[in-house]
Amino acid sequence: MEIFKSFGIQPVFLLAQIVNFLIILYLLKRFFYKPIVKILEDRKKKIEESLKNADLIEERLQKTEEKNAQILAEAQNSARILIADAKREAENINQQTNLEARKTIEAALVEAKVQIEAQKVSMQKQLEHETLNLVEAVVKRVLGRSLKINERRQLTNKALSDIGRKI
Amino acid sequence: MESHIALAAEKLFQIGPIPITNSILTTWVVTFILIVFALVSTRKIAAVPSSLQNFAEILVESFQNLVASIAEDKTKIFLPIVASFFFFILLGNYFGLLPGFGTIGFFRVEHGQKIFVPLLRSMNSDLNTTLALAIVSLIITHFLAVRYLGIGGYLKRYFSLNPIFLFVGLLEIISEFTKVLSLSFRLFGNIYAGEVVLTTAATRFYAFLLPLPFYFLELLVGFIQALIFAILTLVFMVILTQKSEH
Repeated sequence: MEIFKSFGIQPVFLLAQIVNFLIILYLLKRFFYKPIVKILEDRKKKIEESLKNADLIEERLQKTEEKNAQILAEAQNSARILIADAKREAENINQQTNLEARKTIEAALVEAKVQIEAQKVSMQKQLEHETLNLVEAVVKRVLGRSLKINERRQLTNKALSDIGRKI
Repeated sequence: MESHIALAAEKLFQIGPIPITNSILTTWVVTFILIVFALVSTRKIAAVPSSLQNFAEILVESFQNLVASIAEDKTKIFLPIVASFFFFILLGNYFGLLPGFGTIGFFRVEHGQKIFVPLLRSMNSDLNTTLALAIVSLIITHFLAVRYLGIGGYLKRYFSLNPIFLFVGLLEIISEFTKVLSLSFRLFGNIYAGEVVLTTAATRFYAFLLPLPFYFLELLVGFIQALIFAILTLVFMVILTQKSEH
């Protein structure tokens, strides 16, 4: 063991160094590797989770976008239908209004015609009466006598037909 | 002044019956620094790391990847041991390169001779330290082997009824002792030689600029030796915790 002596090997020193290293080993394991390995693992887990979540979010986003597009298309479709309906309705209303207006106009026209006709008849009658009176007055002055019933009717009829022709 | 580096670490003082050498003093300083760093860097551990925690994470994670590439599922058990060897030896080696090591000290008369006693000595240039590390490495390795294989599986590696395998087992036992010797002497030899080279370059030749390349060399050697010690320990652990083929 001469070699050990020349290297200065002594059990006390050996033991001191062994104990020293064991203390280091314990303390480092407890206060250094354990928390750091734990936090590294935690972070790894978190990152993995985040990536998974990101995938999920992307998927959901895509779905939402698809849904959005679908809703938009549906809305456009229903709007188109609505507009078409409205147009049709408007046309209907228009037509009906036109029809009614025409009817009203026609009715008014008929009424006007009837009135005109009535007026015409009354005017004819008045005219006839006045004419007869006039003719009678003229005949009385010229012939010095009244018209006979027969002549009166004849005159009247002639005048009427003349007037009717003129009107 | 002529500096001579003794093979054995010099005694500084005694605490009761226990003598304290300069390398043990250095070991304590290194231990203190290592523990303080470990505590400070993980004191306010958070998911979003601060700068010191970031550095500690880089150290642990890169070493974890290295260990995982060899140990695979046993990484969680092996990492603290292997990484502790690495960081302790690396810090010790680099710490020993600081100015003041081997140069600041006092003179003492021993056997009628005036001897220079440096106050600090690179901890791995004392065979006590490296031998202690190697012994711890061996003991933990065998402890883990028993834990993983059971006492029967552990003994099967060394003892067999088959005479050929019995002889192989004998060789295995011898190899366990050579492991300790090779681990301790490799580390001690490299660091001690580095000390000698640096001291010689600085004191025998020229103290300015000339030692600089050697310092870079020693930085490299210090890292490589720490890594070799740690990786060899790891490999021994992996081999011994696997089921033996015979």
